[in-house]
Parts: sequence; C-alpha cells; structure tokens
Amino acid sequence: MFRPLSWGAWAAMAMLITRPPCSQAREHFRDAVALEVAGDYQDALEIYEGLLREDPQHRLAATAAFGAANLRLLALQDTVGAVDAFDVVVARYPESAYAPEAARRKAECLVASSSWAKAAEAYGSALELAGREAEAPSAQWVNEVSLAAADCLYQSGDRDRVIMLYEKALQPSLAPHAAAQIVFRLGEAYQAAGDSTRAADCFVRVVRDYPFAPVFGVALQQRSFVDRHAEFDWDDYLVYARTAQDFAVPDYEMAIARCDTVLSRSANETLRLCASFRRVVATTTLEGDFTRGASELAALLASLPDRRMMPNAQLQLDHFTMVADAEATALRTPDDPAAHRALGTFYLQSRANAKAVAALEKARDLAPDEGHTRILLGMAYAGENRLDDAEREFAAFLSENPDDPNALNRMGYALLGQNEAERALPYFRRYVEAAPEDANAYDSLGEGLLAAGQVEDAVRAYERAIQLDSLFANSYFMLATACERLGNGERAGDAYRRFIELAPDDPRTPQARQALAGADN
Amino acid sequence: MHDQDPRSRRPARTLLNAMSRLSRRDFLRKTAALGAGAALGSPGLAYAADRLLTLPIDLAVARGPSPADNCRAAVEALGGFSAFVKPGSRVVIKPNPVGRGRPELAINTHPDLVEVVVSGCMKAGAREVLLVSHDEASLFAANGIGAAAERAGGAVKALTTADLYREIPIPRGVLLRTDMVSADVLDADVFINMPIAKHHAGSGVTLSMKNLMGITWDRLRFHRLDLHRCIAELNSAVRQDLIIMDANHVLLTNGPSGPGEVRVAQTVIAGVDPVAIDAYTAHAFWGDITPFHHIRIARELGVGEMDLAALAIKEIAA
Repeated sequence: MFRPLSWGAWAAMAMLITRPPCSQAREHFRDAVALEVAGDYQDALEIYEGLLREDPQHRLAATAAFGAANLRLLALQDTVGAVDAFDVVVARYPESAYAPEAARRKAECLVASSSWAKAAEAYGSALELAGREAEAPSAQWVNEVSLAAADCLYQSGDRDRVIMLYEKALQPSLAPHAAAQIVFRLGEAYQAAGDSTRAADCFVRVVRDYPFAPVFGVALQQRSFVDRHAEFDWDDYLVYARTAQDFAVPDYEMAIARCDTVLSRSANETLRLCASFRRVVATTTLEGDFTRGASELAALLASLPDRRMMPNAQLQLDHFTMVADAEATALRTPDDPAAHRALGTFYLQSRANAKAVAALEKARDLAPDEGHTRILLGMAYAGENRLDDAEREFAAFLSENPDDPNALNRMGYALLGQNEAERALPYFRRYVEAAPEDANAYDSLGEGLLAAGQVEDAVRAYERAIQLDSLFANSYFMLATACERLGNGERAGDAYRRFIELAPDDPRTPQARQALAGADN
Repeated sequence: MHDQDPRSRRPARTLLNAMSRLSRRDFLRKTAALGAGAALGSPGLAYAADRLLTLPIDLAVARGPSPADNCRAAVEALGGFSAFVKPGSRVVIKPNPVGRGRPELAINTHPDLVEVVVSGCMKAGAREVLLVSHDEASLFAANGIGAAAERAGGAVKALTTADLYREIPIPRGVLLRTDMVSADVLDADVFINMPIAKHHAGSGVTLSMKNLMGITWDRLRFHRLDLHRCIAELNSAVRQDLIIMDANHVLLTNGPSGPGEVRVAQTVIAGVDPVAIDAYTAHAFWGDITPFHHIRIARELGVGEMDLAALAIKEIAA
C-alpha cells in the first residue's frame, strides 16, 4: 500500500540533503532512531529501509535491518512482511548479534500462522546461527529455542526430525554452554523415540564433556536411567558436583579437599580444569593471597581450549587482579588510610574477613574519625565472629550518626549472621524508629523477631511492612513461613500466593508452590 | 554455581503476544509530535529532539568546589535550561535516590544538583517538574532529594505500583522486546536523567544508562537475562533530552549501596548522548570502559558515540 511520507520523514530527509555525504548514512540512522524513540515507527521504518538500500555495508546496517523487521511487525502488524524482513537480517548479516534472534522471531511469526514446518525450520536456523555468532546467545536462549523447535515439529507431525534438527545444530563452533544444552535435549529426544542407548550416551556426554555447564547438574539426575543402559563411572563427577554446595555454605576447606580428590583420580582433562578453577578460587579466598590467585587463574585461563567454557573465570580473574592491585597500592602508600580502606573493602567482598580486619584496622588507626571505615571494620569483625569488637566499631559510627538506617540494618544483620538474634533486635528496633515509614525496616525487624522465636511479633512486623509497601515480596514470603509456624495455614497460603505473583522467578518460589500444594492436599 | 534446570518451560514471550497488549494508539501517539513538530518548531518533545541535532558541543564538563555551581556551569555551556525546557513544558527528572546517606557517601544524586535543575526548569517556564524513580517514597525524604525538589518548586513520585508503567516496544532489542516504562517519563515533554557516578557490583558502574533501570517496572528481569545488554536495549528506546551526571563525589568501589571508596572529584558532566557521557565518566574515574559492556553494546545499537576523540568536549572551571 502506498503511503506518503510524513512531515517527520520529510524533515529528516531535508536534513540529510544539507549534510556532507560522508556522514549521510550515520545521520540517516540517527534520524531514524530519533523517530523510533519518539514513537514514530512508520517513518523510522522508511528511513531504516532507505539506509539498507543505500548503504547495506554500513556499520549500523544490521541494527537497522533488525529494527526495520521489528517495526514492520510493530507498526504495521504485518507478519508476512516481517518474515521477509527478518530473512534480510539472517541472509545479509548472519555474523551479526541479531541473526539468531531474527531467525527466532521469524519462526514466531510463522507459528502465529500455524506454519509449523516452516517455523521449525526457522528455529533450527536460529540454533545453527547461534553457533556462528561471536556474542553467543545464553544457554537459556538455546533452551527456549530448542524446545520451541521441537514443539513445532510435534505439531507438524514430524517428530522424527527433532533428532535431526538437534544434530544439525551441534556445530563445533557452538558455545560450549549452548552445546551442552542441545546435547541434553538430544538425549531427551532419543529417550522419547525409545532409543535408550543413544539417550544414555547423550546424558553421559553432558556430564563428561560439559561439567562447567549449567545443565551438568541436571544431567547427573539421569544417573539411574544411564546406569540401566550404559556403563559410566560417576564418582569423580559426583565429588566435583558437591563442591558447589561447599561454596554455598561456604566451606572452602572441604571444597579444596574435594577438588584435590578429583585432581588426583580423574583423567578427564575438562573435569580437571573445572576442579582446578574451583580450587584456585577456594584457596585464594581462604588464604587471601590474591596476587598468587590472579597468576594461577591467568595461567588456567590460558590453558583452556575454549575461553567460553568458563565465563566466570575471567570475572574472577578481574576481581583477583583488582585486589592484588589494591594490595600493591597499600604497600606503596602505607600512610594512606584510603588505600587500606579500599583494600579492606575488597577483602570483605572476597569474604577474606581476617585480612579485611587487618587492612581496616590500619585504615582506622590512620584516620579514626572516618565513619565508613568503622562500619566496614564492624562488618569484618562480625564475619570473624568478634561481635564485641563489631559492636564497638558500629557504636563509634552511630555516636556521630545515631539514626543512620544503613548502619543499624547492617549491624543487625551482621549479628543475625552469627545467630545472635537477641543481640540484633535492638538495632532493628532502632532502625524502625529511625525510618518508621520504611517497609524494609519492618521486614528486617520481622527477620530478627522470627530468628529470636518471637513469631507472633514477627507476623505483626511483616504485616506492617506489607501495609507500607504492598509489593514487598520478601515480606510476603517471610509472613507465610511465620504463619505456617503458628499453624495458620490459610493466612500462610494467601501470603505464599501473593509472593508467587510478585516474584515468579525468585529462587524460593518453588518452595512456596510446594507449600501451597501441600496445603491444597 | 547454581545449576539451571533445562526442563523448565518458562513460556517465551513472543513479539506477537506482547504486541497484543499494546494499543496501536500507544505506538503512534507521538508521531505527530516529533514528525510535524521537528519541522515546524512546536514545543515539547519535538523541541527537545531538535536540540539533539543542534547542540554546540557534545559534552560539558564543569569542575569546581561547589556541586551546584558545577551543575549550573555545565548546563549553561549546553545553552542553559531554556534550550531544553520550553514554557509550559512538563519536565520529568530521574535522579538516583537509592540510598539514605549523605552526599559525601556518593550513593545518591546530590540534592544541591536536584535543586539547581528543578529551579532552572521552573525559571525556564516549566509547568510542572516531577522527580520519579522506582524506589520507596521514604528514600526521597531520607536522602534530601525530596526536600531539595520541593524547595525549588518540584514534586516527587515513587514509582512503586505497576499501574504507573506502560508497555513500550524495544524495536532494536534482542533480549527485550518490550518493557514496562514509567508513564510519566513517556508522557513528559522533557525528560532529564540525573545519575550519580558510582560502582555497581552487577554492571561494573552505574552511570546514566544504568540509572534508567529506575524507570522500569521489572528490574529483576534485566539481571536474569543479561544486565549489560538489557541496559543498552532499554536506552535504545527511551528518549533522554538532557543528562546531568553528578560526579562531585564518585563511589569507586562497593557500589551501588556502599560504603566504599569515594573520590571527591568535584565534577558535573552534561550532554544529551548517554553513551558519550558514560564513556567519558568511565574513562575519567575507572580508567577503562572495557569491562562495562553496556556502553559498547549501546554504541552498537546506535544509541550514541563512545569514541571520545570524536566528541566535542568543553571543559569549564566553575
């Protein structure tokens, strides 16, 4: 349908004419963006498409193509045109970050018209493109797309192609986490097709080849199935899996011991790398030698066959390097309280509490009036279970800032973290007095009361928190648990339901659902 | 180190599903405002957007002992408040009000800056100046931002209920197809972003682009998907008419809530390009922007320019 250009588009084009030709494409793009951001999608679309015709190799052309495809769908609600427009992204810019998602959205347009086979093909293409792209989609993305692809094939009555589609998506260049996800799905597809041997092989592949991937733990749960159809020695993998719990506790000594067990027994190089990584992190955190930790991590990263295996390792290395730099600065400037405070802050973040205490004590001695140092030192003392010292430092800060809610809350939680609920309560009460309209203050008080066994008072505190902020999800969860303890199942159920509504992705939501299911039974 | 359950079938929100909840009126509502307005010079949105194309410099950097003077000098270098605010405009400001501490802790936007900006907008003829953020109302009172706004004739609004947001499309978004954004911001004639420069445990830094998370309803979603990419994608769809970065006190570590290392930088940076402002600030105080991926992604999305050599930067001693 012919549609005349609006004033906005004419104005943008008029501006283009007056600018030097070398910057036209960039200006063109900027004008389209300005129109798009202002909500003028039709005119933005026209300019994007003009840019694609004029300069398809421009740095921002892939972005414009993706924007144009989305706008075609958004502004015109033209799913047929959008399919073609998404095809442009996939065909012309397969290496761009947009290509996999463009293929996926094309598939979604096709699903809307119940074109199941074509949609499955597009989803398959999305998975293949995910293997090419430098900024690889997440394992969750691969999970969703692979599920959608299979659903389309089931809908089209072509179940047999599910396996073929997953096999095709498994290219060597696929990011390891994504590959692990697809191998797991392939196992499920073989399982559904009744080929237990191949299914077991896939689950074993996930465990053996991808112990660093999020799906590793889930594949371990297929152990009883695998044992019926294949032979596999699980021991080292189970020992390694338990180190995740050691870090959560945290119990770094146990984590190191388990990693040593794996390293002394396993011949699987990938598993050994994973165990080495966790060992370095645990040892560094325990001993506080960040210079050595950074050096060991750098060496480990250099030895990885594919750096994408361990995205966390680079982050960990960055952190260790920052701490090591702070250590060097503190050594170089021994009389600078800021240098010691910075170092102490890093140690605190790293849970190296003993070292944090030493650095922050130096900072405090050099600048005793610096209130923030006193809070940090209080937190470090609390982490070392030196509660009297912790209270002294917080008191020093609170004597100057008696109503500082942040300090009161932190002190309360520091004590609560050492199971000193009765000692924490006065701080939470002061927090409530200092900030009587703050829902978080009552939520903290509720936690203290609950830990101290004063459940009825805790319920009242959580109810007050909810009264002040009806969207405070944590208070609903805690209220539910408190009501459960009081035997008030109905009130607990209401609070759990509201919590699930407000925080569907919270890690505690399954627990809330389970509690509700139990109550319903 | 938590394992993800790949069997979870979280329903993917398709573009079409999302669109079914958006009214066509919402999409096209502003068409006339910018379309005809940019050509004919009508006030409000179009006026501010027009300023984008004609500013004399990209960034104004003012340094001096007084935060308020720094703010005045930086905005003055861009043409003053009247260059952004036409008489009768409705101005919405997004400060960073997340903490309760004093300005020296470098957790919140300095109240003195808020007072200068609200006052400047009112003097330029603003009909209304409203400060918004997805934070509790009590925070505005605790950190002095609310009082500063009210002293200058503004008001504050805590965006704590879903009905204060409207779903908008993110046309260049890969992870975000749509997002729930503050209706006040979307409907404003002029939107001013007033972040403070500080460290952030999740995104490395919280500067102007990260500060926009405070105008969205579901922030957890950003963390769940990919914080850096989501920040950049949100910025690709929200118009910012003026950005005033508070770098009078910069929280270098242990952000966003502190306490951490604070550098007394005595600086205010102003401009209209969030990528340029964030790149400049990150370079100035953290030395390297490489770890802050959202800046690079935003540049790839066409949000702005991160090459400082390509920017016209005016430095002012205030």
